[in-house]
Amino acid sequence: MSARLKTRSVPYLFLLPSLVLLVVFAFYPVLFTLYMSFHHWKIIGAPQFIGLQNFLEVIASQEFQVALRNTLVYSLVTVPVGVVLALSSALLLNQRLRARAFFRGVIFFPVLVPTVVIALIWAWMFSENYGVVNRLLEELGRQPRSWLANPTTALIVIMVMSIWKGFGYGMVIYLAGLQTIPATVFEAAVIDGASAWQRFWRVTLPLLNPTTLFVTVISFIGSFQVFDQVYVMTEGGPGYSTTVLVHYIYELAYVRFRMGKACAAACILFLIILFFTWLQLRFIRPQTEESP
Amino acid sequence: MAFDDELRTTKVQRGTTPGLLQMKSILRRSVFAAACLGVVAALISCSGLLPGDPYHVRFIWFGSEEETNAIRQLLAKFEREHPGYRVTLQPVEWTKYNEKVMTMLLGGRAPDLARMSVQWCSRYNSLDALCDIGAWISPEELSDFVPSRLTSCRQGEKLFGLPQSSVGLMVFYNKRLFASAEIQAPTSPQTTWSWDEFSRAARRLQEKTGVRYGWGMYRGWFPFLTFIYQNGGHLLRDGEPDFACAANVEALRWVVEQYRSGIAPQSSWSRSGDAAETLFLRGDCGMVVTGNWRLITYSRQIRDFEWDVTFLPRQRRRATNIGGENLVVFNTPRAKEATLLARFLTRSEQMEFFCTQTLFLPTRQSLLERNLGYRMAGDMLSKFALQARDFEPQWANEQSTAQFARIESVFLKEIELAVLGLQTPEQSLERLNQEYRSVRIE
Repeated sequence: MSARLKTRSVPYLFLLPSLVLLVVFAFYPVLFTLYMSFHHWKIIGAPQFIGLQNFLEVIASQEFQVALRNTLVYSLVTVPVGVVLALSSALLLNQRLRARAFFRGVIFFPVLVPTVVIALIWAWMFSENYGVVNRLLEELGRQPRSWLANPTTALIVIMVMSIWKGFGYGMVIYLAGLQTIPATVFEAAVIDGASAWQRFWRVTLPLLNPTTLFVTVISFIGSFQVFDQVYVMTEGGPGYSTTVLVHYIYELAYVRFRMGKACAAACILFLIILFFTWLQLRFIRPQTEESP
Repeated sequence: MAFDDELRTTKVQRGTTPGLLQMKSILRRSVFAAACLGVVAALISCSGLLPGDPYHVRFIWFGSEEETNAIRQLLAKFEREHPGYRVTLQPVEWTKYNEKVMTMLLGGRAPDLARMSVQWCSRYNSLDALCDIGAWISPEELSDFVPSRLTSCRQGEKLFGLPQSSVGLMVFYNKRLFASAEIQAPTSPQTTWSWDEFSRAARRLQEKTGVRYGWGMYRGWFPFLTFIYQNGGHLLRDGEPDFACAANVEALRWVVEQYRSGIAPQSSWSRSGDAAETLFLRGDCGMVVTGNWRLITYSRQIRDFEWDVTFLPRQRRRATNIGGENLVVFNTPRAKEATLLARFLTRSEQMEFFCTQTLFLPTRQSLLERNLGYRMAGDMLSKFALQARDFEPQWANEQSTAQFARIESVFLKEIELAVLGLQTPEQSLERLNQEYRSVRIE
């Protein structure tokens, strides 16, 4: 082997382990899912090609439409609220406060706890007969409610839990973003007579645009992939009131064993996430590039 | 090179000889080579490339601690009586069981033998995953099995497993609350309550004792079907789905009414609600319709009150539902050995041991008719055995179709929607007809 070839091949050798893992555990399953979405597959035996039938059935299915609607509601509530809370807490905890590190830790702590654990605790808290929430309501003279067994409140509880669990992550990213803004910019704004609101609106927020783009896109993708809390707390119920897309796919694949349909639904979910991510990049990135 | 020389010099200066260095290097390389070989061997063995031991049976299993302990003892006995045979038991949690078996099938590593709930057997058989073991078992050997349980191991002429244990349903009741409300529990299936009498007793419990709920039931299609059958209903007529027949609609309407009126806990039909069984355990529900799998838990956990079991109510007729577990043999090179193990585990002696230790009902007629020496709750299990007589084999047939296993989750959702008042009983049952047809077409 010539010395040149040896030199050139070294970087690829370093890349090889990661590349093998990516191909085996990411690229191959994705391509396999795409392939299976055009087939009827009994899991055992040869798959049978059926063209677009799986896609048409999924799109026409009422359950899919409900799952899509629930996922959209979940995303449109949890992402903006989560981003606003993350930014607000980051702004607050970027000040020189007493016990600042403690409060940062408290807000970030739920991010570190597995979702399944938090979901179980919240399910107990909101239990109709034995939950602390209803106990407090009773103390206040109000009627207890079956929060998670009620189609109108179940998704709200899941959304509140998800926001509480997730916004600490955004806060940490925003804190990092805030610390990259030079103090001189604020000093100049103060000298120019800008009020606190103007400094936030005209200086801080535009300079945080790249951070906002990152937090929004990541939160949005995560929100479309919500599963753990739904699976643990409600299993998509009551009825279909908390059925989200990933839970719908899971049920199709592992409960009803309709693998082809599940693959088609997964491909549709991929396209939806791709579309919304493109949309966000299209609208937020220009502002990012314009920002000083 | 200069650097290497310097390094070598430094090491020698520290008192290490070049010979020792060479030995260390050889040792390091040997360890590395051994590790690589180990990884390769592990990968090969995981991939199944090595020819397997023909007498090594892989047995996948779900069950409580008591059930797993009992089966381990029986497997040890099997290995003693069959020298050369080796059984690897793989216990898996119930809620993840089907996922696990499916993943094993997908990976081309199907187990040789599996414990399987009755409603799942035909589902796996429809995937051509199960083996026809009929040639290895004589008809005489099968004659003692309860017909309604053996049905769930057959598809046409094909026999793919053997019934191992049965579960039945009864009304568990809080004796303290019954005494306070001056209610007498029925003492025989013949003198049991009608639906109205049952509902009135539950209401009386609430009124006289202040208990939150009069009665509830285990969340599942399994106990719900009991009410369908008690009302003269069915799921299939001439092989066609008939979920929305008048008797079923009437039964579901009555059940919904019980939940909507607050006699039964409405939220217990939701996954996220408090289960009726938990409410009973904590003394917040006077009666609960559940199965013998609760006997051990309740015996251990209920300390504040005494409890007992009584017979299910009746309407047009007496009826119950019987389920349980089968031992099914997969299409693997060790199917014959797995069949031998299944036959061993379902023999009278082994079945009696397993059932008495775990409080299950036997699947052999001869054992059902005998008074088994259960290690506890023997009186209650005698009542279960008596109630089990109100089960018809045709009900086992309709519950063990491959299509029924595939609509199981939809079944629960549809009943839940009716109980919550989000749709009418007719809509729920009609939706089940549609779902059943759609999976059959597939």
